[in-house]
Amino acid sequence: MRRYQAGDVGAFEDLLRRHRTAIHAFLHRLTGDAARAEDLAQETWLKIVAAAPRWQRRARFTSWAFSIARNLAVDEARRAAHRATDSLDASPLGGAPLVERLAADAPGPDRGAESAFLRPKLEAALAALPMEQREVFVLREYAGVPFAEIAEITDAPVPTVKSRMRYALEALRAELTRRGVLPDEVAGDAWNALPADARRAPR
Amino acid sequence: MTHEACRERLVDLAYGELSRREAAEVERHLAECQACRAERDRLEATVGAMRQLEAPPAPERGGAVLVAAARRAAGERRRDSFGLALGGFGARIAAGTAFALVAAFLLVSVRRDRLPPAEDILRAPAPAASRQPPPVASAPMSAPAESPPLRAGAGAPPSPAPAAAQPGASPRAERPAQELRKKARAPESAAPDRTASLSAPPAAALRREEAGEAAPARAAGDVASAEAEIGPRAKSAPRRAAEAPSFLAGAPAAPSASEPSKARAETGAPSQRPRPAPVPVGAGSSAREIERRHAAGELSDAQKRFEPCPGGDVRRTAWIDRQQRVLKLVRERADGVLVEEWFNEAGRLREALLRGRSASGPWVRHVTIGEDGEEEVQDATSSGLAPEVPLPALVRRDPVTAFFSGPGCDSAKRP
Repeated sequence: MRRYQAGDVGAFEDLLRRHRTAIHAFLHRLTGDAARAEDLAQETWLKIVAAAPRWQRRARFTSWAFSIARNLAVDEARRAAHRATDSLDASPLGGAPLVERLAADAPGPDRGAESAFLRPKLEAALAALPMEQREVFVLREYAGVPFAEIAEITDAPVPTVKSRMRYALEALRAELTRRGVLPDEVAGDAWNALPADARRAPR
Repeated sequence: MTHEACRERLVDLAYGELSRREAAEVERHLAECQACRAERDRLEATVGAMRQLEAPPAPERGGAVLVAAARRAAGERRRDSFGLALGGFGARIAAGTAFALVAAFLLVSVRRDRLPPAEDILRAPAPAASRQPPPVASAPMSAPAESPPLRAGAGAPPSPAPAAAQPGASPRAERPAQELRKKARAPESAAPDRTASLSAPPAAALRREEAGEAAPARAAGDVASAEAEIGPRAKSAPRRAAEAPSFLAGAPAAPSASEPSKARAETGAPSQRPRPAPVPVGAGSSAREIERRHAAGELSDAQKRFEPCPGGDVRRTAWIDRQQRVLKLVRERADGVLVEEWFNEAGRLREALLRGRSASGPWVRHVTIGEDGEEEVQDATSSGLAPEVPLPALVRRDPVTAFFSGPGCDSAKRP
């Protein structure tokens, strides 16, 4: 980033190559919508370009980039929520609820029957999380960002971030149980009684 | 270690965020505590399940546009280490925002068609000759088949002589009898409405869409758009200037509330929107000069896109001169109305053209603003009456602010 600040466009290309997929994936997971993610990702990078002169060396580039992406996604979600509550006739303008769109967005047959069966459920479980839990979960689980950095990105204290992660995992477990991906609560004891290697998550 | 202390650390343990000593403590507790172990297993099962979510496909397109934006920004920073030299434009808009204008346009350019890989084309732009606009004779002005004849000479071939096409021209024999002439201040446009602003992609690209050209041609349109931003737009200009459309022929398709939202999701904008006619304004007007300058490649385009909302804009295009003044705004509204507005160099509205479709058919309103702010309004509708729908307020001044403002949804205007 320093090199790009100094005018080296090749350095920007390097940044793009290294981080573009991660930022795009983050936004895709966060929004659950490929098209929106693509828009937001482009917007993120354009913001990075525009804000490059103000970038400071002490900020880690990835944290900074994720926070730009995250803020764009949060703002957009907020606007969408506002629209949804504002208009009773939102469907022609807004589109199907996220969960439905996710379900409709099931993978093609080439991905394998099992994956095609599982993926919409996992995506729906993720989409059902409140935004502040989803962003923490997605950053930690899929983007590999440590909690301390997530705290910076989401502008929340570290303990809050960890609580959100715990809530997220709780909610995901409940949702996956409800959707039959994980064994249900009643069977929990029987589940725990299974040998450890049988207790791995379904493949 | 208490159960609670253990459980608080299970997430850290699962993600390797505990020190070796802390991890050992937690492991010791787990070895002794069946309940905490069960909790750990549940957590691992949940994480394990979610980990099976495949990575989303990596983005394939748009990289070249981003690099072009980065190059441009770097070049501008080199030229002026404090930002862009913006003239009057910059007095109000910070350099970063001005860049966002460029950025927003590029973003739209990339997005408008995600099917064909425009990125590579962008690297090696197609020669202008390959970007064939639809032939004038094949109704390039988006006039849908059901458009009622608005001009008296509608039976004539749909490629009228330029003079016949101009609403502001002196009265002509073939002018529609229905055209109304009013000399009055339009009440609802008296108050400038900043929230109602401007939109639409470059006319050339839009016309390609209208003409129903196949995807590859539209990709070329994207490239043309990107070029318009990145470099001079002179390449496509001569063709545009050569076209001789009728502004009345450009009456839009009916704004359709039942338009499938899917279409919007895929294309970024409903496909049945009214499109700006290339040379729609009155003879001798400042608008005409602006059109000429745009056609000559002297003006660049910037574009913003919005989520559709009632009363709001879907797309805005600004034509910007080298002093970064906005000379024309095109607003494509969610209700299907297309508003084109031409400004003088002081940012005051000189002319406006509104097009839409109501229950009784397409309508067009042309407004000229006199030196003292008086409006001259000409309406042309198939019924011979002024459009019975409330027209959007015009942007009377400061098109820069209008361009950058929000979409102007009805909901946002409520107190």
